[in-house]
Amino acid sequence: MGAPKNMVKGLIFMGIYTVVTIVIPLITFSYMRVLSIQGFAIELTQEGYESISFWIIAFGLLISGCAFFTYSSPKQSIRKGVFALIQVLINCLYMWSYKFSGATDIRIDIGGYGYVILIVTQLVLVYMGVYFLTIAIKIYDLVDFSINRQSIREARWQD
Amino acid sequence: MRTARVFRWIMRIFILLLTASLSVVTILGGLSAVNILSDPNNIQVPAQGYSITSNVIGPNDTWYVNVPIGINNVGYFDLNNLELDFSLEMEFNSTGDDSIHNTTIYNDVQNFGNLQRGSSGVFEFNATSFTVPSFHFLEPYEFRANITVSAYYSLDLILFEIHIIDLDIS
Repeated sequence: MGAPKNMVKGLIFMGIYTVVTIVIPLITFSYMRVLSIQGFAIELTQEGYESISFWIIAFGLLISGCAFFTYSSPKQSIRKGVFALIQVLINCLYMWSYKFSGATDIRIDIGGYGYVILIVTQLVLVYMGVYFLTIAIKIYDLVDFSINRQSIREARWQD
Repeated sequence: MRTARVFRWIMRIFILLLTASLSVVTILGGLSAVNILSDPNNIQVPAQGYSITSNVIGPNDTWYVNVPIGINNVGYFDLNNLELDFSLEMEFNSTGDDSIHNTTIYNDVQNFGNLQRGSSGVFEFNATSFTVPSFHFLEPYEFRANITVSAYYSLDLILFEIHIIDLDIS
């Protein structure tokens, strides 16, 4: 695949990751701010919402940027392997940011009556387990691309 | 194809299946929350009102509080380990002047087990062992309840707690 096609592929995946890591979570948390239960308006506290939004946007931008470099790099190249590994590591931090930003213990006030807490720590930890396996395979890829660099290049030239 | 590539593909398919399963569980959990919360009749704390009985105001009488919780689980997963933590505070006047005293006369947790998806149930919290002050007190008196309902959802991956604070149930 030529360089322009790789660039287009990188831009497409950057867009996909922007939607998945920034747009959808922000829409979800914005929706939760205006939800009502049994006729009572419930409210995600402003401080909590701002903290969650900050970390989602910060790590989402990093992941999207890395996705561009990962998917615009030539197939089976060391560059692709390195960026893919960095991207997964940032993905882990992104998931973990849900924990330290307070998004895993979401407190929603029910006007005048009390509050609801959603604790999704267990879900985040299971995701972290999957990411651990992904890190393992990305490291494996990187080693594989480095060891077989010559044969991969020859195969690419033949294509 | 090299052996390394085969191993890599097996691992990738395994990870893809895991990720897809988790994503499905997460999405169904979110949809369940929307289904349950969109109808006010699905969660009723308390259902049918409270019931507090005492014959004569005083420490040696029979006290009884009943708090029914009605839950209609219209989501995609079972509701597990449903618990209700009930704490009752009493405000009373024992001297006849304007001084108001406050004491916790009941605090306990009851576990109601699981509620399967698609089913509904009314769980009754019955409180009988109260720690009532050892002296007679005069009216007026007030009861304030702190109620916490908690349960696990989405294959026990999500824990939710509903806290109702300082609810006047006099």
